[in-house]
Amino acid sequence: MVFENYIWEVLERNKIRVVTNSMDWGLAIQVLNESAQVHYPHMLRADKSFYQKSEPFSAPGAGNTVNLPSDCYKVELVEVAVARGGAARKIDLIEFQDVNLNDYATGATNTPIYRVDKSTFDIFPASSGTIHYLRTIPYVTDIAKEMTDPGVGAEPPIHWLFEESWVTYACKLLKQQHYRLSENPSTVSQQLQGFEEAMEAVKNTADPMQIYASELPQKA
Amino acid sequence: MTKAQHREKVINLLKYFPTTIKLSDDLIDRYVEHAVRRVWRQFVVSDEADFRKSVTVAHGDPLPADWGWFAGSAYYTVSGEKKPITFIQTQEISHRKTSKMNLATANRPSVYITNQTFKFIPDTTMTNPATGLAYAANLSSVTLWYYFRPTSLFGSAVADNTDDGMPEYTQGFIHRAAVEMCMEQLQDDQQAYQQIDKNFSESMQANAKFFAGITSEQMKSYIR
Repeated sequence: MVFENYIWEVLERNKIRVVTNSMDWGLAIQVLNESAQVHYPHMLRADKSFYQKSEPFSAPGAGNTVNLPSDCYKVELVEVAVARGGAARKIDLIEFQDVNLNDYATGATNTPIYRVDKSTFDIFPASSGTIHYLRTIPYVTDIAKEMTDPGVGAEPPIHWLFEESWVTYACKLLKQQHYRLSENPSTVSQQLQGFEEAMEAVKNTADPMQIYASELPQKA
Repeated sequence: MTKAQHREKVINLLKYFPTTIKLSDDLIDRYVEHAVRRVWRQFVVSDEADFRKSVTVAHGDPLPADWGWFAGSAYYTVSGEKKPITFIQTQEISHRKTSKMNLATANRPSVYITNQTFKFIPDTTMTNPATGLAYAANLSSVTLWYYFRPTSLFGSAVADNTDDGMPEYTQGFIHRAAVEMCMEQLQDDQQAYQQIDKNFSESMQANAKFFAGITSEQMKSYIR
């Protein structure tokens, strides 16, 4: 189901009508995204296959550095089409080492190595292949985005089994937000309330300037 | 039971609450949909056969539209003989491809899911150890079982006569769960907040039971 339906559900279940529609909408998007991040580790642990993704990469140039996909959370496997026992094979992951100075592999085609950094990985010798990784979930603002249903190639961020708890937790967050605004209003919201009252007063009087004049700061 | 029948039942159960009128049909349908899925998670553990389907797929095919969860069983036919397929995670691919003790062949194939599609090994990147030649084609016509997702009941695109696809004996549980969820709209702010919290906890608990229970049920079927 698309994101817009969940925004509707959060607003409908919270029935917040004290603020403007646009503010409701933005808050709903925010709490749904917050709830998604809270659920991500649960969803990942429950069904990793839902978040498994793979992407081909081509042989890197000088420096042997390849950019990780932008939605990469964790690299699971780098596979290169190197003949060894007749099979495409996994290559070894090493940590904190210059892959170009590998004493063990010495650059042999059959024994490549790679190292994963923050947003790139180094591979030696340079090879083409496939990177298997776990995708992360983005901050969603597109209301037409498919959010939960697998099987349509849409890469939904939310595992369908967690749909109810995800949207219910978002409702809970929005209710908390509502309490903060209504029961413990900030200086800003107090001033906004005052501004609304002033606007009402302007509309209800035949001589609005008189109202304003009385509220203007006076010289000492 | 259909979408309209569910809605009518829930409204009947709520009729003593004067504020029922504030609940829109859409919202009731949404709660019913949540309830159906929560009950699905609970009953699939105790009676998984009622929630299982099979599909025949080839390497690279997308998950079926009603895909819920792999049901722990799949086979591939080699020379008229059915060979069971193991379900693996992507980090196990290399092990199945390269370990001499665990080399995937057409007689011992594996399936994994990536990009929301099925992938099988051996694949054309591998060499058949029996012939020394690369596999000419990927596995196809693989039959596997899965637990299907219950039908969606929310939204104007779903007709009132849409059946939820759930067994008859689950209806009472669905209505009770839906009414409980509706209560969050019928109470004052503080109680409603507590009800939301309760709904959230129960949903997470249903998930926990599902994931713990389904694993143990599948283990039993392996043992059989």
